[in-house]
Amino acid sequence: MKRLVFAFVIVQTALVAAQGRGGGQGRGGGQPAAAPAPPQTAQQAALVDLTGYWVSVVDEDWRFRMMTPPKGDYAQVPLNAAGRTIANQFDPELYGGAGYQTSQIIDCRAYGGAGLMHMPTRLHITWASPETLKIETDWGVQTRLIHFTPGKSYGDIELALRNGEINGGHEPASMQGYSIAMWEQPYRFNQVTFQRGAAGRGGGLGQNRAMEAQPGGSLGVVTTDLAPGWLRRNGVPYSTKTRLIEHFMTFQDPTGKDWFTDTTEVLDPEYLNTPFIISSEFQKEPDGSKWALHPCKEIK
Amino acid sequence: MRTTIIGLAACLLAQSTSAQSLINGYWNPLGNQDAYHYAAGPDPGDFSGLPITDAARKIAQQYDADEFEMPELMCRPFMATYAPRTLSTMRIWDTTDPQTQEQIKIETNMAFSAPHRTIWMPASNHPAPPATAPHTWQGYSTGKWVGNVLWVHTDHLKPGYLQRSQGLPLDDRTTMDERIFRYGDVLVDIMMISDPQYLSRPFIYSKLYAYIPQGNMDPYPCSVHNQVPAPEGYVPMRLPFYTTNYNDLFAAKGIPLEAAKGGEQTMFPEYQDYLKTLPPNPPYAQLKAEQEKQLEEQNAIARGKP
Repeated sequence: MKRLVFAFVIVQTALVAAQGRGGGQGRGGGQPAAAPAPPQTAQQAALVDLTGYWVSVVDEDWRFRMMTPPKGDYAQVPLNAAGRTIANQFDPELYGGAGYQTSQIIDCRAYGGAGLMHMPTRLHITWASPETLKIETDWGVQTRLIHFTPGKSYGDIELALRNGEINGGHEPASMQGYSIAMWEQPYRFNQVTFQRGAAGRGGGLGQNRAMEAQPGGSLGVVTTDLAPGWLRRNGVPYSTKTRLIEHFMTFQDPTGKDWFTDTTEVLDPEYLNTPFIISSEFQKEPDGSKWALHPCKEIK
Repeated sequence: MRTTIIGLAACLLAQSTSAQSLINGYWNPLGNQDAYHYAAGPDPGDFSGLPITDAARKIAQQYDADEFEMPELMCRPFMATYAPRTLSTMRIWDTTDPQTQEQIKIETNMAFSAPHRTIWMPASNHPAPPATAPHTWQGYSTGKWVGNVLWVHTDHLKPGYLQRSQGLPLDDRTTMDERIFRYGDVLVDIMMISDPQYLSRPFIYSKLYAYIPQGNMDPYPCSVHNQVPAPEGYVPMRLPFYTTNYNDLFAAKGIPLEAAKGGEQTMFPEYQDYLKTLPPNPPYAQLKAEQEKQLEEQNAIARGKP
C-alpha cells in the first residue's frame, strides 16, 4: 500500500510540474525544461483560429447597420456637442435623396476602422505573414492588417495600452489605422490584479491554483492612427484621436456552428463623452462562394 | 491508509473543477447597442433582423401591449431569455461549499421586475430534470467554467416572449445557451436562444455590462393596481385579421414594411441589396387610417355587430 501512495504522490507532483511549465508557455502540455522552445510566431502561438470566411449576422442594431438611419438620429452614441455639429452636416442628397436610407450608397467613411466590424459584411481572414493577420471585407472592400510584435505573442492588450506600450505614431493616419495585437490567455487565479496566463508556481496557503494553465483565450487588438471616419452611415463622426480596443472570442452555437464575437470599445476624446462599446457577431462559412465585392462611395 | 488514498484522490478531483468569483458583483447594462429595443421597448410591428417563423409573426401581429395593464399579468416576471436584455442592473453572486470551497451555484438578480435566477454548478453534478418537471420563468440552469468563460444551459422555461411590447412568443421548448466572460470591467453575455416553434435558427445576442465598484439595488415590490381604467373583464387583444400593428415612432425610423416582417433572411449582408429594391413606405397617415379601420371592425365584432 505504501508503494501505491508513493506512486500517487509522484503522479500528482509530475502533473503539477507539467502544468506549471505548460502554463509558462501559455499553452497546454509541458516541455522538457532543458530544451527551451524557440520563440513562437503569432501564427504558431494562436489561441483561437480566426482564419476563413465569416459573415456578420445582424440581429442587433439592425436599423443602424442594414440601412442608413435618419439624418440626426444618433441614438445610443455618447456624442458630444462638437460631434453632433458634424453629424448634422450629413447631406442625404449625396446618398440617394429621398430614398437615402435604403439606397445602399454608403460613404467609405462608414467603413473606417472604428465602424467597419459593425457594418454588415463578409470577412476573409488570413495570415499575411507569421506575425500579421489580415482581415478583408467584401462590403466596403477594406483591408485591415493586425500586427503582432515578434517574440511577444501573448499579453493583455488593455494593460499594454495603460502602460504606454502602445502609443500610435505610425503616420500617416489611414482609414483602417495601425493595429497591434496580442493573444490574451485566461486570467490567472488568485492574483490581486488582472493577470493573464499561468504563473508557473503555486502561492501556497490554499491558493495553489495560480500555476494552472486554463483552456481558451482571445485576441486583443488596439488600433490607433485612424483617419477621421463615421460610427454610423448617417455621418456620426469619430476623430483621428480615436483609439479602438477590441477583443475577439470564438464560440459555437447549439447547432455546432462556429462563431466569433468582436467586442469593440471606441475611445474618442474629441467627439465622444464616454467610451462607445458595442459587439458584432460573425458566423463561419464553409468557403468564399458568397463573397461579393460592394465598393463604397468616396465623397469628400 | 485507505483514507489517505481517498484524500489524495479528492485533491486531484478538486483540481478538475473551478470555484471562481470572476463575474461576481454588480453590473450596469451598457446602452450603446440595441438599447432602443429595451429601453422603452421596441416599436410594435418591427421584427427586422429577428429569425422568427411565420407562426411567431402571426401571433405578434395580434398582440396588444395594453395587456401589461391587466391585473393578472401586471407582476409577471421577466423570463431568463429576456430579463438580461433589458436595461436593468444585474447582481451576480456565488455560493461555495464550506468544506471543499467548490462553487455550488451562481445566482443573478435583475433590478427591474426582480427576476432571480440560479445556475447550478457544475453541470456534471446536476443532471437534467425530467421532461415532466415544472417549467418556470427562470427555467433550470446549469453551468460550467471553461477557462474564464462560464457556459450556461437553460431549459424548462415557461412560454414567454422574445421581445416585450411586441408580443413575439417563445414556447415551452425554448432553450438558452450562454457564454459569459469579462474583459477588465466589461462583462459579455452571449445569449443563444433556440425555439423549434417560433425561431427558424438560434437567436444570438450579446449583452454588454460595465462593472459597478459600489453596487446597490433597490427592492422591486410589485403591487397590482389599476393604472389605466378599463371595464372589468376587459382583455386587450387583436383579432386574427389584424395586420397593421405600427405607430408613429416606427414610421419615423423609415424601416421598409417588408423588412419589418423580419425572418432570418433579413439578418445577412446580402439583404442590403434587396432593401434597394423595396418601394417606399406609404405615408404614416395611410397606415394609421388602415389600423383604425381594422380596430373599428374589431370593436364592431366585440359589440356583436360585425
